[in-house]
Amino acid sequence: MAVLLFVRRVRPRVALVANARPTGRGAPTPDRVTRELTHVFLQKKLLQKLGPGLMHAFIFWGFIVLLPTIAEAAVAIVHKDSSLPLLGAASWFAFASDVFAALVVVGVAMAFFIRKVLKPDRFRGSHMGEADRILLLILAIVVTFLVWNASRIALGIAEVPDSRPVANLLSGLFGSGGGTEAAERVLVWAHLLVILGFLVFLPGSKHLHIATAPANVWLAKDGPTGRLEPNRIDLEAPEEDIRFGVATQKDLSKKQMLDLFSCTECGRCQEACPAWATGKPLSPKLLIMDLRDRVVAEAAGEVELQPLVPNAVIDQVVWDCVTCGACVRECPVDIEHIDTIVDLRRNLVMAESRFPQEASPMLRGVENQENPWGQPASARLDWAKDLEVRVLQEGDPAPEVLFWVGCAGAFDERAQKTTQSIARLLTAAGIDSAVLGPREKCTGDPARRMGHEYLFQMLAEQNVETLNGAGVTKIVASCAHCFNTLANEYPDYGGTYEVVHHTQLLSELIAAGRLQPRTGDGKITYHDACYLGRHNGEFDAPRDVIGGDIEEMPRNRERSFCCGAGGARMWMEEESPRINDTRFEEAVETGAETVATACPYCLVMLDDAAKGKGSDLRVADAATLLAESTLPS
Amino acid sequence: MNIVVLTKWVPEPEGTPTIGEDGLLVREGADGGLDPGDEYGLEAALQLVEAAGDGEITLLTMGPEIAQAALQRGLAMGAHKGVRITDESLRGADSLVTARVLAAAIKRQPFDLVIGGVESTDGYTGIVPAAIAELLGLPGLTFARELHLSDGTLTIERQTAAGYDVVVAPLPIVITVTAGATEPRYPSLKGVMAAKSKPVETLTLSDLGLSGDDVTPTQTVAEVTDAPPKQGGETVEFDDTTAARIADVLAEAKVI
Repeated sequence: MAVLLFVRRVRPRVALVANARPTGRGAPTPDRVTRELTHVFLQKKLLQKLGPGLMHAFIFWGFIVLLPTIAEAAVAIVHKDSSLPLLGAASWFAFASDVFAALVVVGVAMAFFIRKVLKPDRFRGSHMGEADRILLLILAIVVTFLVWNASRIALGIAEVPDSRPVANLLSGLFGSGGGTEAAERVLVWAHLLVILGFLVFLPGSKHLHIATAPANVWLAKDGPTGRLEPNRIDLEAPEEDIRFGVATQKDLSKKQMLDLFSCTECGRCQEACPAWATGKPLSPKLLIMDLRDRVVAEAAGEVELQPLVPNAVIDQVVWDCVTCGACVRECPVDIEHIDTIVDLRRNLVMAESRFPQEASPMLRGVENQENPWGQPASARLDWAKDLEVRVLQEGDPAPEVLFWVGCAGAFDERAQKTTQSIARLLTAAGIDSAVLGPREKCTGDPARRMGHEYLFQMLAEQNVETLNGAGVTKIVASCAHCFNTLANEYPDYGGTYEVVHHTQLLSELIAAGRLQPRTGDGKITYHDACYLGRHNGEFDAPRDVIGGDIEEMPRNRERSFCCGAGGARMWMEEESPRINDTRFEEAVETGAETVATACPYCLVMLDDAAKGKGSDLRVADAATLLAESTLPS
Repeated sequence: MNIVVLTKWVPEPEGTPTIGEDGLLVREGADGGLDPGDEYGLEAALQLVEAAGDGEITLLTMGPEIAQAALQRGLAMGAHKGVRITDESLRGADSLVTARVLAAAIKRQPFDLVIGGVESTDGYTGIVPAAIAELLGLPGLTFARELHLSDGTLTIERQTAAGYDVVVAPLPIVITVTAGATEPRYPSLKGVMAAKSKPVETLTLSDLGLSGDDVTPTQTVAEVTDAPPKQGGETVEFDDTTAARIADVLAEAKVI
């Protein structure tokens, strides 16, 4: 009966995932197997927070170990003196199930302590009552299990009683008379009924994650999180065959749908989100919960099928995201919030033309002048006026390394300094490098993160044609966003190159003795760029370029806090308190005189914050600091 | 309500145009598109039609094949149909010829309102809409920064150096809309695709009943020279007099 109810209740959710758009993911890869082992069985991402991680690990491991005991209890219902073949008489299993059941009790106690006493803010907006009910059910399952075993020990029917220290201790509660015999029957029935009740309760609750999370982890993206899945657009195709991102739940992929049913509302994403931290309406957790609730209500016929924006989440939520990836990194079940947000943006931009109007000049600039600044291509080399830089002309032999300057590096006055420093350092190290000059176009990153996939696709195809035509094999990019796009996204468009970030190349050149290491006084802190660090795993190279001791900010490396410019937020207005100001304050508090960056977006955002506050704290790229220290001025 | 929006293909404003030996712009193979200044007029037209709940916007342009790109952009933004007048004898047409041709095309269909930009981003003469108004015998209202339509009467806020005037006229009329009046919409990709199937009519001079004398320019380009290089600006060092100096500069520029 309970099983039937479970099937009936879980079926609509299974159907939603099964009927969703295919992901093309699923085949076993080394990454998938590794993730399943580390993220699921070893609870690696949960244990990033030790207390809550152990709490969960106790319950999870207990759940795994105790699974066979359900069969044990079922057998005992029929015949109280029988037990499972093999496991029933195994003293090690008796010991393990006894100890792990006790650990589950500890886990539940820890969970209540966290929820009722510590009350972290990450739970704001989560369903607290539902969590309590789940925890009480879990507690009831293991307590009935332990006390049932205690009664069996008291009755002398338990096999290997000495291997059950906790139950043995509890067996003192029972006498050996008829009362205990009756209690044993009541307990085993209670134990099984609670389990069956749990089964019925499961599908409609967030606790369904015990079934969905392992699948969700399996389907997660292999490789760097910075890569977005292409949404190919062929304008020649009939319109009904073209997908413009995600409008309604019908457009969600299997992974996106499974994400919704994997969320346990733990709020680790919310706690890490720079938008939420600065008072914006976006919380990655609430986004997933709101989408889930809408999808379920629509599927049940309670409400009409409607576009998810603004019916599930309001427009601003979709535009607040900086795509920094902090949420994705924190999520214990590998939910990919960014991909869904960008897919929602794709529909708003490409189908509806509905987006913050201040970003319109950026899109026009990328479309007409092939850069977000709307500057003429002829101005791309303005930074190189006083330098000897080889400009790769059509038909020229390919350089050893192509220096991808990027639009910020070419047009923004502050970022131009970084570009000049890199060019001088490459020359000093004797690297055979060249730039594309006016033939370089925006990689398309801002258009893509804004949701204009078609504009990105056109630019990617044009740039790949130029790069392949020039025979380029290795690229050094100074902008973390260009770096991410060239390295991780251009292979989808036929452009596969060895792509390094300038701090990676410079640190190699220092290690090889081709450049001098930086020397200098004065305290320095370093701000990790999301698209170099968290999204692409490079934390050491920029620190090596800066050299010496770095006064780290509290949030650094994988857990760095965004500057506020990613996800095309560079071109959108932001209400105060701003993300860049918040991050800048953190830099000031280190007592450093300089905050080093490795991406022009971070440079501009933090420098704007410094100017706004009239601060003396200097913002400069690691390359600029290296050039100042080691090259003649 | 029928609105005609005057549109023009212009070379890429951020680029360097190529001038032919005859002193005329080389359009073939050049980068360019819909004049950004025309987008404000089109946006105003779209808002009027949206507010009224019905109406048709016709884009009208004069130019060779390349000008089709400007129409496509306007259709992607939401205009309903396009008319392009093309004729070899129109090469080198001056403002008066252009106005005669456009006025002749406008007269072919009933209309309530003709909207143009203040001036084109390549020629900058700024007289075509006014000339059209004269040729059509209609009031010409210029520099509109706000438009309100009610009961067949259009009220505009006319931008002036000192502020704005409120000007009222019954339809039909010809107006020009200032850049910056409202932010023109960025066309959706669906709009771009839908534009491909919207009707565009191509007309020649004979279709308009015009010939020889009507389209003979009264002006010709005698010579084209490079603009003098920009002079270095003035750097004002920060001290006690800075605020006063900035105020003077703004006053000289008639901004304040």
